[in-house]
Amino acid sequence: MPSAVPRYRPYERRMPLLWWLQRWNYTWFILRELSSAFVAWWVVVTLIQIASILEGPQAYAAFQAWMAQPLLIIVNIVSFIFILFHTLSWFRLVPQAMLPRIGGKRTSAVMTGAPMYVVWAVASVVVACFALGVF
Amino acid sequence: MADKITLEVARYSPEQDGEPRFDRYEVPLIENWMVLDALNYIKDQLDGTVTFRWSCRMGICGSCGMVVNGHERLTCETLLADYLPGPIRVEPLRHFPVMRDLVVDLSDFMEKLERVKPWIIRQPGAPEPSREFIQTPEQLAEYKQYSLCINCVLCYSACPVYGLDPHFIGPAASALSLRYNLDSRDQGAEQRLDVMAQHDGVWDCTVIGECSVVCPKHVDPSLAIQEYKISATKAWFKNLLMPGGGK
Amino acid sequence: MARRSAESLPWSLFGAGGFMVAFFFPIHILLFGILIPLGLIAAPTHTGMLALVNHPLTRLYLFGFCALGLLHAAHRLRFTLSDMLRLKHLDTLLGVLAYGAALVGVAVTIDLLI
Repeated sequence: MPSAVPRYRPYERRMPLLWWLQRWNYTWFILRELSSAFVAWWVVVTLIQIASILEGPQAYAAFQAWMAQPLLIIVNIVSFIFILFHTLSWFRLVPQAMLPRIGGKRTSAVMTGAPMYVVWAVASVVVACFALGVF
Repeated sequence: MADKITLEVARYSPEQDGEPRFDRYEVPLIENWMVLDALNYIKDQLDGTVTFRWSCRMGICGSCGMVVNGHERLTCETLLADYLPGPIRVEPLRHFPVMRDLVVDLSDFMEKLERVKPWIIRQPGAPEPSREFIQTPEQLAEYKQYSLCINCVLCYSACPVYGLDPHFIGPAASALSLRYNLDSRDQGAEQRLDVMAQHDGVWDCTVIGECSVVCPKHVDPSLAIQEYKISATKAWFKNLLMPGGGK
Repeated sequence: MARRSAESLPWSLFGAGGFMVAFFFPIHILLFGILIPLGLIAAPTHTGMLALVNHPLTRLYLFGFCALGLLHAAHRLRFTLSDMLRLKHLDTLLGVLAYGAALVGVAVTIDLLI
């Protein structure tokens, strides 16, 4: 705790506005966080999809025509890349913090992350089967 | 191999300068010389006014942390030869106020370190042990990684969140706080959670993870902060379901 | 002694949403956003989709998908904007805007699915 007013004048620095361009790790971080915008976008798409299905065959066909526009396909490919980035970083960072130890031993990111890929694969296959009418 | 290398050293005189400048010094490129050896050569042979902190020269005292070519390093274990052909830019750690040249004011970190109570806490009235505490290797392994922190504050310099909001409790203090929670002799986890779960505690961390990358002792403060968020959240929901029941 | 923060609530929703997004969003986008629109996979019929969406378990799943996704995105956007654009001093405003928008979205989701 500073006990007295210092007699010197320290030089105070401020973060530059574009601080996240200073290092690759910072830039990756910002890109990872921006995945949230694509999450929001995809929830909106899903809500429109549900509404069109509930409304009737014509609305559903209109939804599909809307989705087939080149611009939307590009947006969705970009969304897919960002969401993949989220998934991979999430599996690397989060499970270890949730399960810092298993059976009394400290875990590693590899140990807790690996089962996540299995769950992810199973979840994806189940969703695809339901959506495509396999079940 | 060249026989000289240039250092660009950040200089700031609190009595005279409005802002820092860089002075260039040419030093002999000697095999196995560290950046700290070059700074000492400058101070001894070229310019006695260059000011910096150092002590042990073996990566354990934590006082010679600086920003070398844009990255936080302990200068006592950073080889000059790794930066050939130079120049090597040496700056003070980021975010802290610069007192002079390469020396920063660590008062804020010291206050935070004290706030998280990084010492063994025993509950008042807990029975005095009749002999020394015994710890098994497994119990030591629980906290060993976090105990290796040497307070060099490279992690604070690498943390943009601390740079953006100095109220954030920050990486090293969080790691050291958790280190004592994980110690089998300690009973102070609740008290520390009171500090860490506050608005100015761990919540600002957005898991950039650079703190864990720059740590010269391979401590993982980023993980410590996430573990604290989970503890705080468990306690919060417990308190919501059973108000006052947890105490 | 200052109080423990209520930040636990949005943070735990952010975490739950993070898992929802990580496990389920990629396949949705891949199927409905890329493969089907490109014609690489035949689009499921309206009858089939309607039957699927009308199932209570699908509705529960879709509610979780949308609500957790929105709350996850809101929390992360709040911090991204304040970090990226140095807006820490506007944290309260950003929080109100982000969580407010997410809650409106959750209300729309409930309206649609019930």
